[in-house]
Amino acid sequence: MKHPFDLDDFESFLSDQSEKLRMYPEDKVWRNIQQSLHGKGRWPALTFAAFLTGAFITVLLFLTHPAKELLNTSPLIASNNIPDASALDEQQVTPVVIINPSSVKKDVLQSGLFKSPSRSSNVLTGEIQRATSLLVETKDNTDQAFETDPQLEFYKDLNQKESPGLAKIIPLYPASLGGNKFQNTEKGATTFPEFGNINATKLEKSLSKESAILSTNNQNVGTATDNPSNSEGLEKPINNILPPKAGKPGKWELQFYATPSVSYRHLIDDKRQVLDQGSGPYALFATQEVNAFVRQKPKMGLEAGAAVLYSISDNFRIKTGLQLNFRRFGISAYNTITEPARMDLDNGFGVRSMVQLTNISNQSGYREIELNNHFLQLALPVGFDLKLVEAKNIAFYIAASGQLTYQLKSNSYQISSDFKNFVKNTDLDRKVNFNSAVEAFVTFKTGNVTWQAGPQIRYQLLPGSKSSYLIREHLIDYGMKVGITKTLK
Amino acid sequence: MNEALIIEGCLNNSPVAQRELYNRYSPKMLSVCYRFAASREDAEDMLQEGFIKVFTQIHSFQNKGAFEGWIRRIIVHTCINVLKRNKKFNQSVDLEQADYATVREAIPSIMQAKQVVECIRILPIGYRTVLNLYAIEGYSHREISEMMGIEESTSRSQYTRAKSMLEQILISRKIIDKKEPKTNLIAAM
Repeated sequence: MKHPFDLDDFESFLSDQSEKLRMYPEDKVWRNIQQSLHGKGRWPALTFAAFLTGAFITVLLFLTHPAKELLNTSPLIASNNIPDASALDEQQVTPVVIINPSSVKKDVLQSGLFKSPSRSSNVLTGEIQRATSLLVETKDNTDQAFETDPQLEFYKDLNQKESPGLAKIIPLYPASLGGNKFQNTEKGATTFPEFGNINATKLEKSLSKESAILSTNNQNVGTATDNPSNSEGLEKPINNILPPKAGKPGKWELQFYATPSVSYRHLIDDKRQVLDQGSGPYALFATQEVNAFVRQKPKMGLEAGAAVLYSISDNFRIKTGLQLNFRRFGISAYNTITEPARMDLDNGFGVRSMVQLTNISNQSGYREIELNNHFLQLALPVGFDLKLVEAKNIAFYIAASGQLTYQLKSNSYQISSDFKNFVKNTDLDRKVNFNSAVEAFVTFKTGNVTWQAGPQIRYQLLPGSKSSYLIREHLIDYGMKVGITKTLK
Repeated sequence: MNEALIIEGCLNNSPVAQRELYNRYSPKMLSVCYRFAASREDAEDMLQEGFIKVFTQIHSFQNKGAFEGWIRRIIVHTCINVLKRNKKFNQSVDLEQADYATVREAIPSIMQAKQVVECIRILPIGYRTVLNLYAIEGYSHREISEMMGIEESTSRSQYTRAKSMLEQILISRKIIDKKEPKTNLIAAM
């Protein structure tokens, strides 16, 4: 800049010296500027994966379960809309036999199999079809409840008169009156207004003993009913409604899957270590972080393949298979006149430079271009799936795998050691590599087939170029894996 | 990418063009900020604020002068505004005290330009700002008085003192010889 005033030597000296100085700002300055101008960058891959997983689960649930069922409370979770017990009279209350709900299939109940052959006993004729659910109580709890709650006086009398010894008989309210009169109060405890507080765990245990209790009380039932054949009638249906034992599922499964994913390249510059060892001076720009010099654009790729799974236990299975990985990403660069690009190699005997000619600049040029990097790899994954949660036919898994990959085809651009240029398909490219992947997914089982969806992250453990090159590149993929698994007999 | 393409790209809010402009001018502009600032961090904050102004006001560039000069004016004004905002101009020391306090400071010296700039930065903030604006950036004392909100005579006297103090510092650090600089007070006034 030419100074407008006449300066003396000292002032000219100051001006000249000040103009010579160049300082390089940290990359965070540019990031802050960019953020201020264009807003904070988002991570579309994660948002996309989370949205897709949520949508997938929701759609599956609503397609396979009517909305009414999804919104219904379970037998052990009562509705808050509970009518006042005092408002109920004898006519509104449907007495039922207490059995283990977990052993009774809903469709079996609805089929009418469990109907008592006679309605002569108010106790045993419970209209199962109209009851909102089945409840079990132990003899002790029931007795205690009967002692303390005047509302149950009728049933206490009934039990003693009609079925002495069968103290497990308790009333349930019909669905039209709000369902069962018990509420979840806190974790592990269920409040039954009729019986006071009953521990849910204890209740569950008592549920499992129910069939046996019924059997041992068979005689009492018989004497309690007008028709002796009722005892037989009761026992048989209970045996009949037990669900048929399902055959053990096969341990081997076949899976097909695809993972649309976006790829990034993470660069690690080993020159810093060399610099620390004092092997020679480097330009100022070379001391900055290499990723700050590269403008990458992630692009959509795909991983697809087939796997065989073997279940070691109910929750753990191992898998292997064969798959193809297609990964790609873009780099913003410039076309320039042909110039030498320096590639520094360390073969263990010190750093040596190799020069290659290129017409691609990372800094400036006569035309802006985008470099398309893509890789086609054949992979042999080996890994495991771990089931964390399962509810009905939906389960949540985490999984990890290692993949041995062989590069079938590639179009890659390697950044030069001084970060100024890109060089296409150098001899430094590595053919065999190793990838690791972690994923989480939700499965939905329909018969013999299981569907799954969930996010996956894959990382290429070895650099894309040979180890001797001082700038290492590692590919990272963020994907959404969807798959279908069939159990083999 | 030439300058016209960069300006056109920045007018279209292109991140690539903005990055190119930043890459091209940020090293020089950071050294400008560094002369005004108390630390490198402060200088980077000034640079950041200045470049945001450059990108948001680039439509006001009329192609009448050098693009670099236009950017530089924005950066310098940003530096002055930051200093004003932080009320740094109120700090002042007298000449003898300043000389005693500064000569014993260690300066990381890599090259002469860096040393000179470090010596400028030792000056009290008011002196330093006037010296930077007059001797290096080329503003007149009238412009400086308007920019800093001080009297024109104050700007002149501060410059004279700043120049004298800086000479002593440079001589004490053997960056210049004692007799070499020929002061031209008339030109300075």
